[in-house]
Amino acid sequence: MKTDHELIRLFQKGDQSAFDELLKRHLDSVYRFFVRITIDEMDAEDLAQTVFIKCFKGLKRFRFEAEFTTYLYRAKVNTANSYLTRNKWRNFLHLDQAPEQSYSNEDTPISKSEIWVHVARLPGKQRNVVMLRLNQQLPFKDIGLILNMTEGSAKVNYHHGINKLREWLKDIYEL
Amino acid sequence: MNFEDQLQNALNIDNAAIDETQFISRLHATQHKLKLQQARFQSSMATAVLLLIFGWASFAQLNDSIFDIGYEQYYSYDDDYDYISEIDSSDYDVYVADMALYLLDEDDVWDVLEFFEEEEYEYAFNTKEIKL
Repeated sequence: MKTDHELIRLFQKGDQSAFDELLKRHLDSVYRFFVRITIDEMDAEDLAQTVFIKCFKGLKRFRFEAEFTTYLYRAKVNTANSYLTRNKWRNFLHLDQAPEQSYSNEDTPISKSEIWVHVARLPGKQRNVVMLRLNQQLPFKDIGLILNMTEGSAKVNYHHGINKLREWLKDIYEL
Repeated sequence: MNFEDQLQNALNIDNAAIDETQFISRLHATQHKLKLQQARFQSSMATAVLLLIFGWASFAQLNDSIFDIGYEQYYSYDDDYDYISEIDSSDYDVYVADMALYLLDEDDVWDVLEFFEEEEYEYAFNTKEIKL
């Protein structure tokens, strides 16, 4: 079985099937990342497609200095940030009145969309760390590597971000 | 259950699945569209550059042919050429002499002198006489 880097090298040489192979390998993780963030599955699919289009364009200049998964996480975080910012404005203008997702956990008192609305309000670094931690349960060391910060900085940003979320959601859910 | 667990529980998904084949075919269509757009952009840019080069070359060519080529053989455009000094003074002398003779024929020598005054004509014959 070829590694991600080998597949990227083949793609850089013009082998389209290598890109498809890479896509198949990571599609599920990318899709599930966005399903946790979006209101409906179509949005998640669109965002996954955006990520792979970014990869399709960007991998031709990939320099093999980092793992492909790190590169993919960055693309996912950037795409999710754009989506959350766009949604923030939609919510502000009351344009998005879509019902809650069908695949959420019904027992929980906190709505998924409510979480992301408030995550979108966090400052950049805190938002990215909280997003990766809540969405993927990644260790802080990996989060630091993905977001170009130290493990300590990732922890601090997460701590601040979660505290703010708790404050904001406390009033709604009486936590 | 602490706050973080509640959040993660809210984001928990069990039944999310994607149709891989449909996703890939959709992506291929988008990639194809992207390549077409790129090719269209490149050809537009190439055409624009070519038009610019041909336009400039044509302009330069027209500029040369209209104003310079074949025209110099008929007319000289030497800016430093001193046209005034090249006027043949002997023609002027002949003209003045003819006029003077004509006025003398009319029997009025004062008219002749007045004419010389108007023309501010140097009396060449006098000068020559003085020189002599």
